Amino acid sequence: MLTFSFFNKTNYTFEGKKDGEQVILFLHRHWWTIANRILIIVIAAFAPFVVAVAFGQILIAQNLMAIFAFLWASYYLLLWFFLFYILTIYNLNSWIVTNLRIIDQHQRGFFNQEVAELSLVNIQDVSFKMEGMIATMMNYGNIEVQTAGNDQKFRFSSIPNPQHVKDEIMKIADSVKGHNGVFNPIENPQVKQ
Amino acid sequence: MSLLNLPLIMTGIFAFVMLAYWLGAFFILYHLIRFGVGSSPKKMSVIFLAGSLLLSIVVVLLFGQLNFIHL
Repeated sequence: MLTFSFFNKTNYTFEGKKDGEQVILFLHRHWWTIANRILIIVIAAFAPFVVAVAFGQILIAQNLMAIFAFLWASYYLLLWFFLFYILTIYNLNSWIVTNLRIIDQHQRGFFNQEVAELSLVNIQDVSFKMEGMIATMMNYGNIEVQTAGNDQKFRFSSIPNPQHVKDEIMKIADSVKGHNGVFNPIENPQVKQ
Repeated sequence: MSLLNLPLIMTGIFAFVMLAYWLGAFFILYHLIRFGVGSSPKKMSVIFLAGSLLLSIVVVLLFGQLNFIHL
C-alpha cells in the first residue's frame, strides 16, 4: 500500500533538512521523564469508576444516570486530549544529529518552538552527567557539547544511554575534521543510525 | 415560544465546547504531522484521531439522550 507507506518508511525528514543531509542519531528524553504525568492520567481515568461505585444508588434513585454517563464520556475525551498533548510535546522535543550538524528542537507549547543548531566542525568537547539514583538506575543523563569560539554549550537533557550517545557524537565530530565538515556514515559504519 | 429555552442554550454550549475540543485536536494533529520526525508521530496522530472520533461520537450520542425538560 504505497499511500500509507509513510507510516513505516521514513528517511527521518524534518523541516529545513538540507540536500544530502542524513540523520545519524535521533534522540528524545528518556520515557521516565513523562512517566509521572502519564501515571496521573491513568489514575484519573479510574475516578468515574470510584464515583459510580460510591454514588451509584443515589444516581439511579435521582434518575441522573444519563447525565453521569455523558459527563463520564466527556471526561474521557478530555483525558484523551491531555494524554496526547503530553505525548506530542514529548515527541517534538528532540535532538537530531546529522552528517552536517546537531539540531536542538524545543517545543514548550503549541505556539512556542525554539530551534538551535550547531555545525559538527565547531564541536570541541562532549561530556555527560548522570545525576541521582533514578537517573543512574534508568541509565539517562545530560550531555553537554562544548563549541569552539564562544562559551555557548549545547545541552541534551535526560537522554537515554548518555555514555553511548557521547561516544557516537565524539566519533562523528572527530571524523568530520579534515572532511570539509561533513560526516560520511558509509565511511564510518561503526556509528549506528 | 421563547427561542432562549434550556435545551437550545445547552446545545449551543455543547457545540461550542466540541468546536473548542476539535480546534485543540487539530493543533495536536498538525504539530505531529508537520513537525514530527520519523514515522511514529504519524502513527500517533492516527491513533489520536481515531480515539477522538470514537469518543466524540459517544459524547454526542449521550448528549442526545439527555432530557433537559426533566432536569
